[in-house]
Amino acid sequence: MVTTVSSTVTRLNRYPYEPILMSGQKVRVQKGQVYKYFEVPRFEAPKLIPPFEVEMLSPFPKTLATLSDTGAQTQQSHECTEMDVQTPGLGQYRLIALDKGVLFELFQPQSTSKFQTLTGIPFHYGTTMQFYRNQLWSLLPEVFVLNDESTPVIKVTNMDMNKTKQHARIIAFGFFYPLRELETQIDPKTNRIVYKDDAGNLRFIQAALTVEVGVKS
Amino acid sequence: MSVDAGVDELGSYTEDYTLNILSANTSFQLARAPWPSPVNKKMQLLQINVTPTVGTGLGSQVVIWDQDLSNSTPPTRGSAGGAILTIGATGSAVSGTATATTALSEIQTVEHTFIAGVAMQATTVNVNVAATLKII
Repeated sequence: MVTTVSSTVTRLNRYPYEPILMSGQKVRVQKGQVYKYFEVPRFEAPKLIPPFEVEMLSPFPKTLATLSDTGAQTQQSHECTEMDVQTPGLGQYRLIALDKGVLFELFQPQSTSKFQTLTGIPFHYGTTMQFYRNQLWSLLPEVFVLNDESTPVIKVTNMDMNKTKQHARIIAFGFFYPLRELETQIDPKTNRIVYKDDAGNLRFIQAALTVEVGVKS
Repeated sequence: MSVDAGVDELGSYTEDYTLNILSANTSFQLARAPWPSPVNKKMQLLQINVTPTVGTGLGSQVVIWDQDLSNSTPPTRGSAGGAILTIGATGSAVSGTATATTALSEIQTVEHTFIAGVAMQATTVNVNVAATLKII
Protein backbone atom coordinates (compact mmCIF):
# COMPACT_ATOMS: atom_id res chain seq x y z
CA MET A 1 0.00 0.00 0.00
CA VAL A 2 1.32 3.38 -1.01
CA THR A 3 0.24 6.65 0.50
CA THR A 4 -1.38 9.26 -1.69
CA VAL A 5 1.10 11.75 -3.08
CA SER A 6 0.55 15.32 -2.04
CA SER A 7 0.29 16.46 -5.65
CA THR A 8 -2.88 14.47 -6.30
CA VAL A 9 -5.67 16.73 -7.52
CA THR A 10 -9.35 16.26 -8.15
CA ARG A 11 -11.56 17.69 -10.83
CA LEU A 12 -14.80 15.85 -10.23
CA ASN A 13 -18.24 17.18 -11.06
CA ARG A 14 -17.00 20.33 -12.67
CA TYR A 15 -19.13 22.84 -14.47
CA PRO A 16 -19.08 22.93 -17.46
CA TYR A 17 -18.97 19.30 -18.51
CA GLU A 18 -15.82 18.79 -20.53
CA PRO A 19 -13.05 16.18 -20.54
CA ILE A 20 -11.07 16.11 -17.31
CA LEU A 21 -8.06 14.42 -18.93
CA MET A 22 -6.19 15.34 -22.08
CA SER A 23 -3.38 13.64 -23.95
CA GLY A 24 -0.32 13.09 -21.79
CA GLN A 25 -2.13 13.68 -18.50
CA LYS A 26 -2.15 11.11 -15.74
CA VAL A 27 -4.89 9.61 -13.67
CA ARG A 28 -4.81 7.58 -10.49
CA VAL A 29 -7.67 5.11 -10.45
CA GLN A 30 -8.65 3.91 -7.00
CA LYS A 31 -10.38 0.55 -6.84
CA GLY A 32 -11.27 -0.18 -3.27
CA GLN A 33 -8.02 -0.36 -1.31
CA VAL A 34 -5.73 -0.52 -4.33
CA TYR A 35 -4.93 1.86 -7.13
CA LYS A 36 -3.05 2.13 -10.39
CA TYR A 37 -1.62 5.00 -12.37
CA PHE A 38 -2.54 5.51 -15.99
CA GLU A 39 -1.79 8.04 -18.69
CA VAL A 40 -3.76 9.15 -21.70
CA PRO A 41 -1.22 8.35 -24.44
CA ARG A 42 0.12 11.22 -26.50
CA PHE A 43 -1.27 9.59 -29.64
CA GLU A 44 -4.78 9.30 -28.18
CA ALA A 45 -7.43 11.79 -27.14
CA PRO A 46 -10.61 11.75 -25.05
CA LYS A 47 -13.67 10.71 -27.00
CA LEU A 48 -17.27 11.79 -26.53
CA ILE A 49 -19.75 9.16 -25.34
CA PRO A 50 -23.02 10.53 -26.75
CA PRO A 51 -26.23 10.10 -24.74
CA PHE A 52 -27.55 6.56 -24.67
CA GLU A 53 -30.33 4.84 -22.77
CA VAL A 54 -29.94 2.01 -20.31
CA GLU A 55 -33.07 0.03 -19.48
CA MET A 56 -33.23 -1.57 -16.05
CA LEU A 57 -36.27 -3.73 -16.83
CA SER A 58 -35.03 -5.95 -19.59
CA PRO A 59 -36.23 -7.92 -21.37
CA PHE A 60 -39.28 -5.87 -22.26
CA PRO A 61 -42.09 -6.05 -21.16
CA LYS A 62 -40.93 -6.82 -17.68
CA THR A 63 -42.87 -4.82 -15.12
CA LEU A 64 -41.81 -3.07 -11.96
CA ALA A 65 -44.29 -3.69 -9.15
CA THR A 66 -46.12 -0.76 -7.59
CA LEU A 67 -44.88 0.98 -4.48
CA SER A 68 -46.09 -0.91 -1.43
CA ASP A 69 -47.47 0.58 1.76
CA THR A 70 -46.41 -2.45 3.81
CA GLY A 71 -43.15 -4.34 4.17
CA ALA A 72 -40.10 -4.14 1.96
CA GLN A 73 -40.35 -2.62 -1.49
CA THR A 74 -40.04 -4.81 -4.57
CA GLN A 75 -36.85 -3.78 -6.34
CA GLN A 76 -35.19 -4.90 -9.51
CA SER A 77 -31.53 -4.53 -10.30
CA HIS A 78 -29.59 -4.37 -13.51
CA GLU A 79 -25.86 -4.76 -14.08
CA CYS A 80 -25.12 -1.96 -16.53
CA THR A 81 -22.65 -3.70 -18.83
CA GLU A 82 -23.79 -1.17 -21.42
CA MET A 83 -21.55 1.30 -19.57
CA ASP A 84 -18.41 -0.83 -19.72
CA VAL A 85 -15.66 0.67 -21.88
CA GLN A 86 -12.85 -0.71 -24.01
CA THR A 87 -9.71 -1.91 -22.27
CA PRO A 88 -7.59 -0.10 -21.29
CA GLY A 89 -9.85 2.87 -20.79
CA LEU A 90 -11.80 5.00 -18.37
CA GLY A 91 -15.44 6.02 -18.83
CA GLN A 92 -16.84 9.15 -17.22
CA TYR A 93 -20.62 9.34 -17.12
CA ARG A 94 -23.28 11.69 -15.89
CA LEU A 95 -26.72 10.24 -15.41
CA ILE A 96 -30.26 11.46 -15.99
CA ALA A 97 -33.39 9.56 -15.02
CA LEU A 98 -35.55 9.32 -18.14
CA ASP A 99 -38.68 7.64 -16.80
CA LYS A 100 -40.81 9.42 -14.26
CA GLY A 101 -41.76 7.83 -10.98
CA VAL A 102 -38.80 5.47 -10.66
CA LEU A 103 -36.14 5.64 -7.95
CA PHE A 104 -32.68 4.73 -9.18
CA GLU A 105 -29.95 3.76 -6.75
CA LEU A 106 -26.47 3.22 -8.16
CA PHE A 107 -24.16 0.64 -6.65
CA GLN A 108 -20.49 0.12 -7.49
CA PRO A 109 -19.84 -2.65 -6.59
CA GLN A 110 -23.19 -4.30 -6.05
CA SER A 111 -23.10 -4.00 -2.27
CA THR A 112 -21.90 -0.41 -2.01
CA SER A 113 -24.12 2.54 -2.80
CA LYS A 114 -22.21 5.03 -4.91
CA PHE A 115 -23.76 8.20 -3.57
CA GLN A 116 -23.74 8.09 0.17
CA THR A 117 -24.55 10.06 3.20
CA LEU A 118 -25.08 7.55 5.97
CA THR A 119 -27.22 5.53 3.62
CA GLY A 120 -27.44 5.47 -0.15
CA ILE A 121 -28.93 8.40 -2.05
CA PRO A 122 -31.27 7.45 -4.86
CA PHE A 123 -32.03 9.80 -7.74
CA HIS A 124 -35.07 10.14 -9.94
CA TYR A 125 -36.55 12.18 -12.78
CA GLY A 126 -37.44 15.09 -10.52
CA THR A 127 -33.93 15.41 -9.12
CA THR A 128 -32.03 15.11 -12.39
CA MET A 129 -34.06 16.35 -15.36
CA GLN A 130 -34.37 19.89 -14.04
CA PHE A 131 -30.60 20.12 -13.63
CA TYR A 132 -30.15 18.83 -17.15
CA ARG A 133 -32.63 21.30 -18.64
CA ASN A 134 -31.04 24.19 -16.79
CA GLN A 135 -27.55 23.01 -17.82
CA LEU A 136 -26.52 22.53 -14.20
CA TRP A 137 -24.69 19.43 -15.26
CA SER A 138 -22.30 19.56 -12.32
CA LEU A 139 -25.24 18.56 -10.12
CA LEU A 140 -25.99 15.38 -12.05
CA PRO A 141 -24.88 12.03 -10.57
CA GLU A 142 -21.44 11.13 -11.88
CA VAL A 143 -19.76 7.74 -12.06
CA PHE A 144 -16.48 6.45 -13.47
CA VAL A 145 -15.99 3.03 -15.03
CA LEU A 146 -12.60 1.35 -15.59
CA ASN A 147 -12.59 -1.11 -18.51
CA ASP A 148 -15.20 -3.78 -17.76
CA GLU A 149 -13.94 -4.20 -14.21
CA SER A 150 -16.25 -1.84 -12.35
CA THR A 151 -19.66 -2.30 -13.91
CA PRO A 152 -22.28 -0.22 -12.07
CA VAL A 153 -25.39 -1.92 -10.76
CA ILE A 154 -28.59 0.10 -10.57
CA LYS A 155 -31.52 -0.90 -8.37
CA VAL A 156 -34.92 0.54 -9.21
CA THR A 157 -38.04 1.06 -7.11
CA ASN A 158 -41.44 2.16 -8.37
CA MET A 159 -42.54 5.47 -6.83
CA ASP A 160 -46.16 4.99 -7.87
CA MET A 161 -48.74 3.16 -5.76
CA ASN A 162 -51.24 3.00 -8.63
CA LYS A 163 -49.40 1.83 -11.73
CA THR A 164 -46.72 -0.71 -12.52
CA LYS A 165 -43.89 0.59 -14.67
CA GLN A 166 -42.89 -0.90 -17.99
CA HIS A 167 -39.79 1.23 -18.33
CA ALA A 168 -37.06 2.27 -15.91
CA ARG A 169 -34.43 3.99 -18.00
CA ILE A 170 -31.56 6.33 -17.45
CA ILE A 171 -29.65 8.36 -19.99
CA ALA A 172 -25.88 8.22 -19.64
CA PHE A 173 -23.45 10.44 -21.47
CA GLY A 174 -19.87 11.52 -21.01
CA PHE A 175 -16.34 10.83 -22.13
CA PHE A 176 -14.06 7.90 -22.83
CA TYR A 177 -10.38 8.20 -22.05
CA PRO A 178 -8.01 5.70 -23.71
CA LEU A 179 -5.34 4.77 -21.18
CA ARG A 180 -1.88 3.32 -20.89
CA GLU A 181 -0.94 1.80 -17.56
CA LEU A 182 2.18 3.25 -15.96
CA GLU A 183 4.72 0.96 -14.34
CA THR A 184 5.16 2.57 -10.96
CA GLN A 185 7.50 1.95 -8.07
CA ILE A 186 8.67 3.74 -4.96
CA ASP A 187 11.85 5.74 -5.35
CA PRO A 188 13.90 4.63 -2.31
CA LYS A 189 15.66 7.98 -1.97
CA THR A 190 12.64 10.22 -1.95
CA ASN A 191 9.94 7.71 -1.02
CA ARG A 192 7.83 9.11 -3.85
CA ILE A 193 6.07 7.29 -6.63
CA VAL A 194 7.98 7.15 -9.91
CA TYR A 195 7.23 5.60 -13.28
CA LYS A 196 9.19 4.57 -16.32
CA ASP A 197 8.78 6.88 -19.27
CA ASP A 198 9.02 5.80 -22.90
CA ALA A 199 12.79 6.03 -22.79
CA GLY A 200 12.98 3.87 -19.68
CA ASN A 201 13.87 6.71 -17.35
CA LEU A 202 12.33 6.91 -13.87
CA ARG A 203 10.26 10.06 -13.49
CA PHE A 204 8.18 11.53 -10.69
CA ILE A 205 4.45 11.71 -11.18
CA GLN A 206 4.07 15.45 -10.86
CA ALA A 207 0.30 15.58 -10.70
CA ALA A 208 -2.46 13.09 -11.26
CA LEU A 209 -6.18 13.27 -11.20
CA THR A 210 -7.77 10.75 -8.85
CA VAL A 211 -10.99 8.97 -9.63
CA GLU A 212 -12.63 6.22 -7.66
CA VAL A 213 -14.29 3.18 -9.19
CA GLY A 214 -15.85 0.21 -7.52
CA VAL A 215 -14.56 -3.30 -7.91
CA LYS A 216 -16.60 -5.68 -10.01
CA SER A 217 -19.21 -7.57 -8.07
CA MET B 1 -50.24 20.08 -22.17
CA SER B 2 -46.50 20.06 -22.31
CA VAL B 3 -44.47 17.63 -20.30
CA ASP B 4 -43.79 18.94 -16.83
CA ALA B 5 -45.78 22.15 -17.27
CA GLY B 6 -46.29 23.73 -13.88
CA VAL B 7 -43.42 21.81 -12.35
CA ASP B 8 -40.98 24.13 -10.69
CA GLU B 9 -40.00 22.55 -7.38
CA LEU B 10 -36.81 20.52 -7.47
CA GLY B 11 -37.68 16.86 -7.07
CA SER B 12 -41.17 17.16 -8.55
CA TYR B 13 -42.59 15.59 -11.68
CA THR B 14 -45.99 14.88 -13.20
CA GLU B 15 -48.05 11.72 -13.58
CA ASP B 16 -51.27 11.18 -15.53
CA TYR B 17 -54.18 9.19 -14.13
CA THR B 18 -57.60 8.26 -15.42
CA LEU B 19 -60.70 6.80 -13.80
CA ASN B 20 -64.11 5.70 -15.01
CA ILE B 21 -66.72 6.25 -12.33
CA LEU B 22 -69.17 3.40 -12.81
CA SER B 23 -71.41 3.96 -9.78
CA ALA B 24 -73.08 7.13 -8.65
CA ASN B 25 -72.39 8.40 -5.15
CA THR B 26 -69.74 5.75 -4.53
CA SER B 27 -66.18 6.51 -3.51
CA PHE B 28 -63.44 5.90 -6.09
CA GLN B 29 -59.71 6.45 -6.00
CA LEU B 30 -58.16 8.39 -8.83
CA ALA B 31 -54.66 7.95 -7.39
CA ARG B 32 -53.05 7.12 -4.10
CA ALA B 33 -50.28 9.51 -3.11
CA PRO B 34 -46.84 7.87 -2.85
CA TRP B 35 -46.62 8.58 0.89
CA PRO B 36 -44.77 5.38 1.98
CA SER B 37 -41.00 5.38 2.46
CA PRO B 38 -38.68 5.65 0.60
CA VAL B 39 -40.71 7.95 -1.66
CA ASN B 40 -42.55 10.20 0.86
CA LYS B 41 -44.26 12.48 -1.61
CA LYS B 42 -47.56 14.30 -1.95
CA MET B 43 -49.67 15.32 -4.93
CA GLN B 44 -51.04 18.51 -6.40
CA LEU B 45 -53.77 18.77 -9.02
CA LEU B 46 -52.51 20.44 -12.19
CA GLN B 47 -55.22 19.64 -14.71
CA ILE B 48 -58.46 17.67 -14.69
CA ASN B 49 -60.97 16.66 -17.36
CA VAL B 50 -64.46 15.47 -16.41
CA THR B 51 -66.61 13.87 -19.12
CA PRO B 52 -70.04 12.25 -18.65
CA THR B 53 -69.84 9.52 -21.28
CA VAL B 54 -73.30 7.98 -21.48
CA GLY B 55 -76.17 9.79 -23.06
CA THR B 56 -78.41 10.60 -20.17
CA GLY B 57 -78.07 14.27 -20.78
CA LEU B 58 -77.81 14.78 -17.06
CA GLY B 59 -75.14 17.01 -15.67
CA SER B 60 -72.81 15.49 -13.12
CA GLN B 61 -71.10 16.82 -10.07
CA VAL B 62 -67.75 15.38 -9.06
CA VAL B 63 -66.62 15.90 -5.49
CA ILE B 64 -62.95 15.42 -4.60
CA TRP B 65 -61.19 15.04 -1.28
CA ASP B 66 -57.87 13.89 0.16
CA GLN B 67 -57.92 10.24 1.24
CA ASP B 68 -56.17 6.94 0.63
CA LEU B 69 -59.12 4.60 0.42
CA SER B 70 -56.87 1.55 0.86
CA ASN B 71 -54.93 2.62 3.93
CA SER B 72 -55.92 4.71 6.93
CA THR B 73 -52.35 5.62 7.92
CA PRO B 74 -52.04 8.93 6.06
CA PRO B 75 -54.32 11.68 7.36
CA THR B 76 -57.57 12.31 5.54
CA ARG B 77 -58.72 15.78 4.59
CA GLY B 78 -62.31 16.20 3.53
CA SER B 79 -64.92 13.60 2.70
CA ALA B 80 -67.68 12.86 0.21
CA GLY B 81 -69.91 15.20 2.16
CA GLY B 82 -67.20 17.76 2.75
CA ALA B 83 -65.33 18.00 -0.51
CA ILE B 84 -62.27 20.18 -0.86
CA LEU B 85 -63.00 20.59 -4.56
CA THR B 86 -66.25 20.24 -6.54
CA ILE B 87 -66.40 20.18 -10.31
CA GLY B 88 -69.62 20.50 -12.26
CA ALA B 89 -69.84 18.81 -15.65
CA THR B 90 -72.40 19.57 -18.31
CA GLY B 91 -74.66 16.70 -19.35
CA SER B 92 -73.97 15.38 -22.80
CA ALA B 93 -74.07 12.52 -25.28
CA VAL B 94 -77.79 12.46 -25.76
CA SER B 95 -78.95 12.15 -29.34
CA GLY B 96 -77.76 15.10 -31.34
CA THR B 97 -75.45 16.35 -28.59
CA ALA B 98 -71.72 16.01 -28.63
CA THR B 99 -69.89 14.68 -25.60
CA ALA B 100 -68.91 17.60 -23.42
CA THR B 101 -65.78 17.79 -21.35
CA THR B 102 -65.19 20.11 -18.48
CA ALA B 103 -61.48 20.84 -18.43
CA LEU B 104 -59.72 22.79 -15.74
CA SER B 105 -56.07 23.66 -16.12
CA GLU B 106 -53.64 24.62 -13.41
CA ILE B 107 -54.48 28.29 -13.69
CA GLN B 108 -58.16 27.49 -13.21
CA THR B 109 -57.92 25.21 -10.20
CA VAL B 110 -56.89 25.95 -6.67
CA GLU B 111 -53.53 24.37 -5.85
CA HIS B 112 -54.94 21.72 -3.59
CA THR B 113 -52.38 19.38 -2.07
CA PHE B 114 -53.22 15.74 -1.51
CA ILE B 115 -51.24 14.02 1.21
CA ALA B 116 -53.04 10.67 1.13
CA GLY B 117 -54.60 10.43 -2.31
CA VAL B 118 -57.24 11.80 -4.65
CA ALA B 119 -60.62 10.30 -3.76
CA MET B 120 -63.84 11.21 -5.56
CA GLN B 121 -67.52 10.58 -6.10
CA ALA B 122 -69.85 11.57 -8.94
CA THR B 123 -73.57 12.16 -8.76
CA THR B 124 -74.16 10.19 -11.98
CA VAL B 125 -72.78 6.99 -13.44
CA ASN B 126 -70.35 6.73 -16.34
CA VAL B 127 -68.18 9.73 -15.76
CA ASN B 128 -64.63 9.67 -17.11
CA VAL B 129 -62.06 11.60 -15.10
CA ALA B 130 -58.53 12.22 -16.38
CA ALA B 131 -56.03 14.29 -14.47
CA THR B 132 -52.42 15.37 -14.43
CA LEU B 133 -50.99 15.45 -10.95
CA LYS B 134 -47.76 16.98 -9.81
CA ILE B 135 -45.83 14.70 -7.48
CA ILE B 136 -43.92 16.84 -5.00
